[in-house]
Amino acid sequence: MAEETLRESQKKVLEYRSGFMGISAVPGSGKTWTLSHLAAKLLLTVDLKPDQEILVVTFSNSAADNFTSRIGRIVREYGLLEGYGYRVRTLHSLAGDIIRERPELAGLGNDFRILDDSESDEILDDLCQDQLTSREAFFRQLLKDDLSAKQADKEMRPPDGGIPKLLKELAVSFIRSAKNEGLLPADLAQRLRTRPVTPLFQVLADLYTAYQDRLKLLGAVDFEDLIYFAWKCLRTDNELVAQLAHRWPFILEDEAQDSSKQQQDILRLITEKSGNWVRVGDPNQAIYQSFTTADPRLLKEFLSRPDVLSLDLPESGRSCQAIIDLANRLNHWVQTSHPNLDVRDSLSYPTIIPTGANDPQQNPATLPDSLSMISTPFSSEEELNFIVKDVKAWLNRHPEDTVAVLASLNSRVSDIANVFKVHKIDYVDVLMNVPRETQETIGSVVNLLKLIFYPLDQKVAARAIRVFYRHLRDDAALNSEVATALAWFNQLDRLEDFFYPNEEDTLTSFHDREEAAASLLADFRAAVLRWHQAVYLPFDQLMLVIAQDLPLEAFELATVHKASAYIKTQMDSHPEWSPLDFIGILTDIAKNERKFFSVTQTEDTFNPDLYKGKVILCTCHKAKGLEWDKVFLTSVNNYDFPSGADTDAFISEKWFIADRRNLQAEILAELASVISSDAPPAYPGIGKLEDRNKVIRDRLRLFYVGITRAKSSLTISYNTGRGSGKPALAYQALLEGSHHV
Amino acid sequence: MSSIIRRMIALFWTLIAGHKVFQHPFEPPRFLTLETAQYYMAQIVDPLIDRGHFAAITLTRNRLFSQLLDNLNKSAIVGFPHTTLARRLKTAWNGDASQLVVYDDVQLAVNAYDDVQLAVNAFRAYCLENNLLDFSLQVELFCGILWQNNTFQKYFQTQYQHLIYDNAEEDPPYVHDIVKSWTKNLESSLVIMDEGGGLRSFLGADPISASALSTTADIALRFDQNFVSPPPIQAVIEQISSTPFQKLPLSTLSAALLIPQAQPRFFPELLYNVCQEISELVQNGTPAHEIAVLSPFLSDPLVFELSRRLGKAGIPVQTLRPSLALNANPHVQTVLTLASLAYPAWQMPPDLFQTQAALSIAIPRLDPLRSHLLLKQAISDDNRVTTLPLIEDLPEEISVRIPQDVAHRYETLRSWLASSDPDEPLDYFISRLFSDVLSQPGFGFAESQLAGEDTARLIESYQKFKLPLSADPQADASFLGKEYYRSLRQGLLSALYLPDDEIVGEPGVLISPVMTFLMQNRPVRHQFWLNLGSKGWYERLEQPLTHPYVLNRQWQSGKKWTTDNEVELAHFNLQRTLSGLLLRCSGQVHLCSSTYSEGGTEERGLLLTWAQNLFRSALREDQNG
Repeated sequence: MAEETLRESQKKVLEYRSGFMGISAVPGSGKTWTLSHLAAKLLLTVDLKPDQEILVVTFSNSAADNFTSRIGRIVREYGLLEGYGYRVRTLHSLAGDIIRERPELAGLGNDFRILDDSESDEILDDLCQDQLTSREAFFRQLLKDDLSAKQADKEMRPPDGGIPKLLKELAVSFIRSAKNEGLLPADLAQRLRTRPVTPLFQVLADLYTAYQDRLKLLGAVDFEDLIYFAWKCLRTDNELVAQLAHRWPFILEDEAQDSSKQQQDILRLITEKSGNWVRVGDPNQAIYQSFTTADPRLLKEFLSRPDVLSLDLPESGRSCQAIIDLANRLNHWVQTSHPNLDVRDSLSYPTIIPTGANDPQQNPATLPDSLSMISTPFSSEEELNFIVKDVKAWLNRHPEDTVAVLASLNSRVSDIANVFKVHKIDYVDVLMNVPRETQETIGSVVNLLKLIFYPLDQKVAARAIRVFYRHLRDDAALNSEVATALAWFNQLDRLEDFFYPNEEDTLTSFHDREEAAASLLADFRAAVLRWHQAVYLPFDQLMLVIAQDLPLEAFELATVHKASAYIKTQMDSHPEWSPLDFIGILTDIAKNERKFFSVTQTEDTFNPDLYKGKVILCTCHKAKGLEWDKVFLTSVNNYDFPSGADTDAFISEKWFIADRRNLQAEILAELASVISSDAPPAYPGIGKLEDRNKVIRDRLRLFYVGITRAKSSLTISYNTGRGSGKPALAYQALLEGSHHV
Repeated sequence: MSSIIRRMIALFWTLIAGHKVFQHPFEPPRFLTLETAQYYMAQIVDPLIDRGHFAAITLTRNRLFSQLLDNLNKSAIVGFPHTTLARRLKTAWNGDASQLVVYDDVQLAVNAYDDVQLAVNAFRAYCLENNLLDFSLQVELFCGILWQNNTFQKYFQTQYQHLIYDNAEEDPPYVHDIVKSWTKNLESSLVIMDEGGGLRSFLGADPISASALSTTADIALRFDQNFVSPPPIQAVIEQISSTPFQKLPLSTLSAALLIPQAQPRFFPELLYNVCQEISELVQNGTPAHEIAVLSPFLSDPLVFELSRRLGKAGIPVQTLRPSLALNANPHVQTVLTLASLAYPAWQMPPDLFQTQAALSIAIPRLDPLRSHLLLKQAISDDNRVTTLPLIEDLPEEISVRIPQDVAHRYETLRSWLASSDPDEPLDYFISRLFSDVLSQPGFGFAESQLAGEDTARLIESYQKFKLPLSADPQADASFLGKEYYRSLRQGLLSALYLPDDEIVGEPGVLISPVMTFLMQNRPVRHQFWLNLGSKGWYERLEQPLTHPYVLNRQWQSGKKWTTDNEVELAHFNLQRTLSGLLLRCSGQVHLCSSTYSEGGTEERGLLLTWAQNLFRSALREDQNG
């Protein structure tokens, strides 16, 4: 966007030169664009010293990638050196940078490892299992009295029984909350010496201690520790704060509504002296509060500070008027008419304004089918059928458009994926953990590794040949030679006679008949023999040896390098594991069943426009930050989006727990009382209302996020679940004010 | 010096015994290597950790043990009582009192130093009780008892008349003390030091103390002319030590430091570009051995890929790096895997893949497929091999797939292992396995000098390990073998054996970690600097339980170690490293960086910033000019 076409609101932001500034940005208002330009503008105008940088902090790796490439582009346009004078970091990577300045302040060496979620999950699974085994009787007491013995056994059975899953959830929130409050196991143990706690609290305190002990053995920290230790280093060492304050005289923070208190404190401490801190966020899109330590109130408080210049970015060219109106109506209704007065602050102004006539980003036109709000009380299956039918019809009519189907729960997304498979609807799971190209690259390496460790398996070997020559797929002639080679190979009786011929090389006679195909097999064999020579190498290095023999693009090779580094950390953590365990991990990554932060092929992150004609399927949480021409927002019922009415059910109030107690709310309330040294709270039922309100607030904002993902067309539907479900209260209110189907 | 000390202690043990430091002074001393000291430290510290000590420290146990030993060693080589370790470390801790109260965990971190004191005291007491001499005790006994003893002095001073002492700056101060006192009675002595050295400061090297030694000399010569580096490189050397930041003309800069046209995004692309550039240099007549590829750390994948790519282009490669850990050596792996089959009492049977690899190395004609075929008949549910199967017990459809000659060799090995004595000491076993089987014609170690050397190293390592332990009456051969195998597999021993650097390959393009290259003192025409963004170019080793700069003779007692000290040290280290490298460069330096580092992260260390500033200011000047 050229300077002359800037919106007034954007111009005001770009006028910033110093001080505290807070920006409320509505969905689609171009906050990344604006913040990137602000970073570039500061680079141009501020006389930075050689060792100073503008620091941009954001929430996710993909957002950081996005900022880096955007700022790079603008900087190039300005004729400046790309990559110089600015740094883009996620809050967690920034915390890692800070700790690395003085690791000893956090009791760490400089080779400390950062565990990813799946690793810490595994440790917790293991520890929870120990607790379940050693305190089985206690956990059984938590179950409803009227469960049959069979039902009770089912709920106790790991890993999918209700109790094992609940214990893990409780452990995750307990540990996360304790760390967010700076309460380490030793401090907790100290407090518990003089204070009685409930048995469940003691179980979780023990789990916490055991978990931290396990991390210590590995010389590792988890994501929560990163934030805590960085915060601790800064609180301990004023010189470190001064050092960082000098290095980063300006901090621009994106997605500020998702920051926790500790995260906010880290940035506050660094900017305290300079006072140059720009925070951009949308409090209406704070959707993590109920299950993380994120707290959108912090941004609101910042915005209302007298020393903060508070601005809005209210214009958005993303959605058509009908969809904007719907989002604004939801905002207004929540603030003025939600029957639960405690949650009326879930959403706040500004409302969304369409862009002006001369704006380069024009809102799409409203069409007759721009808004479909389905009031039919579908059963769960009926809703799936409706989605299938409607999605198919949409794809036929709009092959060039982008479309997404969103649901709030992972389980519902899986249901939709299954039904799409049955109906052969081409859907894309690119929003899952591992990008498709990464899956393919890792998958190739896994298939070749399998040949090393299952050397006599004919199927494995045939697959390895296909993978080895996958780059020939587009060359019909060569591909046909591969097929010929495979046909001959599949008839072999004994693989050892092919790879290590004893007397007569069977490949020679084949070579006489099919020279080209036999040459392909000879090359493949030579590569496999090389890999066999390297089998004494550690597994992570063996991966690299194999990857060298594949015609991989640079980013694919980089992916293998990253996976190799990941495997190395696993090897360090589990010296007793065998190669098959590592193959299992890589297979999980290749199947998108394990989180893996990979490199990306292009400089841009996920771009829905690349998937026209296919359906993007994901949760509303993962859809944040993205937009599609058409969005199906599904399962908008009072279970997924409760309002606090008597008939609402809450996910954290488990049906199999006696009195439907909300154990998570209780345990967090007890933890809060331990931290504040207040009297022990009354049991049971403590924290339930507060927790409910947190969930209600989160879900109202999630509904808002879901609506605002749509550009031209939005369909909303709900289902009645097990029979008694209703539309979410907010949806009902919108239905009542709309012309709906 | 350490070998002299050890020899002298053994020789004059009776003098030491007279001082009644040890509980059993009239029994012989048991010298500990770094490896065996770690082993004993583990015996002391493991129970402490289990009781909740070191709670505020996140470290692997092996690192924790080594830092504790490091503390003891520092006390000895610097010359202060080990009982003052905690006090010294606590005094330098820069958290102030009010913060200690407010932030409980920092208090715990400080208390970790009390844990340090507890552990080192317990370790020392155990050593004195059992006549165990770790390095720190050896130095203390030598400096505190022997060196002060007239009988010893009479003997020692008559042994040598002349002394040539090189690289004094890389030694700790106790060596300088000894040399200073020693030289008084020598006919002549020559002390040589490199003013830009002190690279081993983290190990206790004290260049200032070395410098003080040189001031006692009758004649002092200083060689300060550089005959290696061309003028543009010398200009950069001057720039490095200049404050404030000094600009250089673009022409000078470009003649000294080469930067690529475009920065690649990923590290593999960078390696590809580096290999291309090296190929071009070689094609244009630069001898391969005049090129060095340098990085603060040399990962295995980096060495592997560079060697492979350059090898493909027909360019010889030599690597200079810390030797492979003993348990990463394929010959050692083979021998130990076979040993674990021969000693079932260890209860550590190898898995299928270990055994398969061992068999394929032991019997070259037994390829991985056929060994897999054989072993599949004998594996347990958890993929372990407890004993090698007999060929004649295999189903016929399997046995016919193993060629006769291979089956014969396999059977020779199998029966040899089956008949081995489970009570035989491990070193005897290895020695016999090597001579009776593996080195025989048709087996994998035959005619391989390297295999022989590797086996000998393994035997030597085991013998050093068992020496102090075997005095314990409970420690029979089986126990010793098992403990050795277990410790090696847990990494307690592996990282420390053969701490010296190892040169692999014929003279060619040298791939080396920066520090190792500097210590080699070998100039080359072209240096490729990799991983420019890494902090490894200047960062000290962070050790939360010890501190090389606080536990140092130059450290002013009572001072706090602060972030400012840290920053100052980082700049000093970088300056020293860069000057050292440039002084060893007779042509040009190629600066190589990718957006994402080898580890896949964006790194912005001081070296990258320095290089960017240098070029940015030169470009500006050039454009303005």
